[in-house]
Amino acid sequence: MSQPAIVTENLTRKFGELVAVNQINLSVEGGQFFGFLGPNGAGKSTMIKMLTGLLAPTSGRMRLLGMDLEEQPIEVKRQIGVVPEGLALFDRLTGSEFLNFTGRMYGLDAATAAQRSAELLDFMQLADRPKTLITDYSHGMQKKLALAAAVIHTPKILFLDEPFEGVDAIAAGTLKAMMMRMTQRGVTVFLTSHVLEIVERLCSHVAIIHKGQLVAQGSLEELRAGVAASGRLAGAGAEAAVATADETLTLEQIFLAIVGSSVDTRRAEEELSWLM
Amino acid sequence: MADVAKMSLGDQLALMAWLRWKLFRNSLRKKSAKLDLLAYVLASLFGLVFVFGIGMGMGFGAYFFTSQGQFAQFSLLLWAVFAIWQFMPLMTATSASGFDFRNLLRFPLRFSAFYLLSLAFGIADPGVAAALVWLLCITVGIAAARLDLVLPAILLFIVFAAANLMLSRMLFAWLERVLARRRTREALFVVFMLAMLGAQFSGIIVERWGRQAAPYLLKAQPVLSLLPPGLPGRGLAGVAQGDSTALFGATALLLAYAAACGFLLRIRLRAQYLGEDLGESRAPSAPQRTAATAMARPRVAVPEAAGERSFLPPLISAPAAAVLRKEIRYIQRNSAMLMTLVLPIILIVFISLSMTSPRHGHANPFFVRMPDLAFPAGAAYMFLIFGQFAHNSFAYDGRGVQLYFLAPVRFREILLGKNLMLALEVVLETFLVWILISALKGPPAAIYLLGTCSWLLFALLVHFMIGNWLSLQFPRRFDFGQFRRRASGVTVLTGLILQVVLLGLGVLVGFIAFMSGRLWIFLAVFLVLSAMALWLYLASLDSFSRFAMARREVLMEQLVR
Repeated sequence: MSQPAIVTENLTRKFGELVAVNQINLSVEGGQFFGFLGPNGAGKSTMIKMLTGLLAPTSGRMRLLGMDLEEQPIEVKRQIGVVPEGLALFDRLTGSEFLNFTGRMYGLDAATAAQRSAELLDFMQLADRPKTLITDYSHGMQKKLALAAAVIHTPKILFLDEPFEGVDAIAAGTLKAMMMRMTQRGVTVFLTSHVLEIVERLCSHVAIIHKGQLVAQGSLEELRAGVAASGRLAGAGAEAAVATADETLTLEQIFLAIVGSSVDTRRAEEELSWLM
Repeated sequence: MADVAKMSLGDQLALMAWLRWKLFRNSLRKKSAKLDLLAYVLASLFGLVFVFGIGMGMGFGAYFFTSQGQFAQFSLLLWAVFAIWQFMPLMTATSASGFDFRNLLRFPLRFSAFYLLSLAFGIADPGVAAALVWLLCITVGIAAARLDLVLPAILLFIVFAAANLMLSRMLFAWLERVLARRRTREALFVVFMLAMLGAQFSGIIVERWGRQAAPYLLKAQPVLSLLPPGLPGRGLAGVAQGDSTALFGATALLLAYAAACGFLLRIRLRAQYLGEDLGESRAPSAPQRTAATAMARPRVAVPEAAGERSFLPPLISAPAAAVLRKEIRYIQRNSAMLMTLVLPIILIVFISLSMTSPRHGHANPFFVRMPDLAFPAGAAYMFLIFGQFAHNSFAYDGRGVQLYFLAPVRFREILLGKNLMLALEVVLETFLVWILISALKGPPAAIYLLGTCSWLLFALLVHFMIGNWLSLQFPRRFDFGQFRRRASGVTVLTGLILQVVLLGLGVLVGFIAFMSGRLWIFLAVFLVLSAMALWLYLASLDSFSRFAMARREVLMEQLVR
């Protein structure tokens, strides 16, 4: 059996008194389309930043493709592509210049970087604005460009922080198709998203982080079975309440059951009576 | 029906004042803001000294003109007030990146409140505050000379201030279309820089062509006296001669100016109130294709322009060359940086002209006697401007700085690329200074040329080392096309000390070499020092790579916003 693409051991990150990520043990197999979910402020972006070298962990270890990120950062970075929270774009370059620059930074020769830049711009439907600076791109266009930059060096692991936020449905379809093909070729995709329908449709495996701790991890079937067996569904809000035993639970129902929003919802209803 | 009680205009204005105060106070919460606060306090102290110093001068001027009955001369003082009132808010507007009061339009704000808020924002400007202080000083000067003129003066100055306020807000509102767009904002920045440079040359212009221009200015005097800065003087002259119609006439005309500007301001504000969007334009999305058609596309031909010309990779690593190329593109697209490339040359011409023109009895200026020192002085002056650019290297990278940490490169390559860019700029500028000085004073002797270059090399390497540390330790984000670029207070202070030390060292060694009659000593000393500095610099790059990794969170927090 091949080694996991991503393994973390007791990964922890503190910001002063706040423990943003607490003792996370995660394992992602190669070729998986992996969804990393959690409510706002749960620690998703912190986790991605640590896994991509943008943030140092307070303690714990990370191994990507069998290599320790702390000990072999350059070797690991050669194998990963990232669309981080801030997109990591240079606003005063054109799309083509930025992709060329990124390609060169990842070690591609000039001709390959130029060829791939042109192909990626065409694929992302950005090629018809060769002189437009990135600062003048719409948010969706910037997202697509950031994704293009993340794959220009054919990474083995792709980290995506909210990749579809602000991207229109047609472009999102193009991107999903591209990522699906990448996973079929053995690339591991690790994504965070608040749109649970997208995660459910794309991801074979999911992990849920809540208040810095990993509260669930496994395939969708495993999570469904776990939620059903634990009996947590009864308190998982109105939508979950209508689900019968023989119906397939949606990821949203699983998420709500695990993260436990029903208590908060009831309290909000009571407190905001003037609004209802 | 929304459950909202109607809010009075006063309450709305008070709420806005509270909001501004909270925004300001919260901005000081961060640890890094404490140093900035110190810098603000120091700048404010200097500003106060400047404003009150000139204010006292204006007060004495007003006293003199009043006691001598030279009321027409008041226009001199009031043109200065007018200039700072109109010019400063525009300057701060091009540098403003903070609170936009138009965001308040999403709240149930009445148009009258919106209009008043616009005026209130116009008053909350350092330039306007200085102008008001000066008006107060002028009033005090008048009161000291002739107490009976105080009330008319107060009336005239209040109306004058109202006209100024309306004019500045009106100009700003109409210019906002221009300022809201990146390209035009940057173009305007260049215009302002050129205007400021023009002001630098005004002394020379007046000295050389002032006499020829004087008759034309005298002819224009009747027209100028009908403009807002000329009217209070006319009114006061009338009152002093017992002619109250002149006072009413001047007041009425000032009110008419205020009303006209207020009306034009109302047109713009009304458009904004009704939902006009003057924000930065966003390009519409490109035509879309489906996933199937996109993936089925054949291989794309590479545009010739997309390929990279490899002019440096043989000498430096590919990542460093990529960073260097990116830096060149950034300079091409940064009007502020482009201006700084030209600025030293223009200033050297200015200094050169002013120092060689016989003024105030100095018929034998320094550089006429010592022409060989013109090139070292020019190069040192140029380096005073360029050296500081090493101290905040990531200022314009913004969120792109993340890529430096995501890419599989050691940070030394990034620093090397950035330092090389500055080295190229300094080489180019030194060459231009040499051409300029050669044209103006004749070419410097070889020993002066080589000695200066050796000092520049040493100074540049020292600046790289200190600058790389400052860039990582105290990073600050700068935005394109903005005047006000605040580096960290520590960076500014360290840079200043560094420049003084390096210049002092150069002057000391130069003095010793000159006095001993062995000019080659200067060249030898700085060649040796440069060799040592180069060794240290190369050795420091790996340390800075580790330091950058340790500081990555601070860098991203400061720059990715």
